[in-house]
Amino acid sequence: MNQIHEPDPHFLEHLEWQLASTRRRRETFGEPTDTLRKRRNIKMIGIVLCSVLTGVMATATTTHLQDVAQGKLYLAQAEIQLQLADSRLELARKNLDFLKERIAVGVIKKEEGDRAEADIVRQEIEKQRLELDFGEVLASHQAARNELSAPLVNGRDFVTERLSLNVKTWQTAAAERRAEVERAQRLYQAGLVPAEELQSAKDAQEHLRLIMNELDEKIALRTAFLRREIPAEKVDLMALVTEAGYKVNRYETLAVRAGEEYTSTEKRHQVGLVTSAELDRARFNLESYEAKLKLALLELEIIQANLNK
Amino acid sequence: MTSENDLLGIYRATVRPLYAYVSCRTGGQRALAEDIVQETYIRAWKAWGRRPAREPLAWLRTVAHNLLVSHFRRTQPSSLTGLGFEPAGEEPDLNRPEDVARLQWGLARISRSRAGLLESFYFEEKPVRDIAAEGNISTRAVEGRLRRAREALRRQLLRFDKAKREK
Repeated sequence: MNQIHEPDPHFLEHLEWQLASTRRRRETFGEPTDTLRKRRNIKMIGIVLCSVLTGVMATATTTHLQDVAQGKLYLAQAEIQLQLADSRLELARKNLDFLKERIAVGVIKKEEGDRAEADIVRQEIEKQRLELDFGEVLASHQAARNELSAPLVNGRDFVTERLSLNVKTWQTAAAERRAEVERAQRLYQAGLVPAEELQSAKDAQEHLRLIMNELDEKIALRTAFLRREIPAEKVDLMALVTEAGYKVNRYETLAVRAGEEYTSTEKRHQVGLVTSAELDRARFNLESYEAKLKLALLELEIIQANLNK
Repeated sequence: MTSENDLLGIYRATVRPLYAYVSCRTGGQRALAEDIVQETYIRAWKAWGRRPAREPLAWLRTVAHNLLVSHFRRTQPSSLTGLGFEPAGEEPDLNRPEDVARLQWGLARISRSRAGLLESFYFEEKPVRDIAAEGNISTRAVEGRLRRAREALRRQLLRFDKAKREK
């Protein structure tokens, strides 16, 4: 090995002493348990997570160990993400306990506690997804795969399991959206909010419905693939058609809303109630969504053409 | 709780390969390499309280790599010196800290996939056929990706040069 890349023996010795003494101190005095320390740890772990998401790993230096080393790397990455999810969940639970105390004495509203509980449910589902990823990497020594045409791993269907977890996540969100629409409806009927706010809540609910439809379609495609009703080369294209179809629906709705917003802003601009800058913003939004819709339609056309070949 | 002997056993088995990995990516800057290695083990000790990672060296390399990326993201161009190299036509001299710092600064600012490809090519000196085999793609595809990755790196390094000149 190049001498320049050999560590200094004094450094090695000192570091060993430092690590051993750190370990002994922790055993003797224990870890501090206050929330501030947990927040510092989360920040530190957060820096690691951000780096994991932006960095890429080294592998073994000899050819015949490359695959093994790559598998170990995937495992290390999956393990780190799982540890981070554990820490985040622990912090979220402590935060919820804190909020419940405050709600009990009437210092904060119940809605905050509800939001925190919903957040914990989301994080628990996310942790389950990371456990699935970890399980797949452990079994396959490869990165977790999400394509509908991915093979079973040791007889287990990780793709469907992950899709089902996504459905669970969105079902939680759907319950929240329903509550928001009901709330917006009550406020609108009492004259406390404009019609646009109620429409916005309904749009968000519709958006969620589209997402869940997309997931249901993907699960159905995956099932058909596993039954050999659809070949591998087609099923991934069909998944792309589903995704592209969802995008078209989404941008159609957004373009319609942006069009209504622009018409309303234009009228208000004519009587001097809004500035030119606001009118330009509304026009830009409309043009932006129309452009995205065109691209989504083009994408759908191209994918369908490939599918029909 | 993981025993002291187990942790020290892991340390002794992994410190030299980890140091070599980090040192290569700092152009042999001893102080920086030592800091990164030390910080990596401190984080590992905190994370492995109940049990160590299944693959300790892979875990440690992951964290060390991320610390390197964070370090070079924060590095200001004015603090780096040296003429550097032209990614499109030259190879960086990995024994020159200035070349490596410039390279790492650029890698920290391009996409993850391109940075990974260039890492494999520069720091691990992997032949194109091996990269192709790992990714299950053709050597031609790898050469194309390498070319685009080097162009992306070159654009970042031109920004670096411009920032230095404006200093």
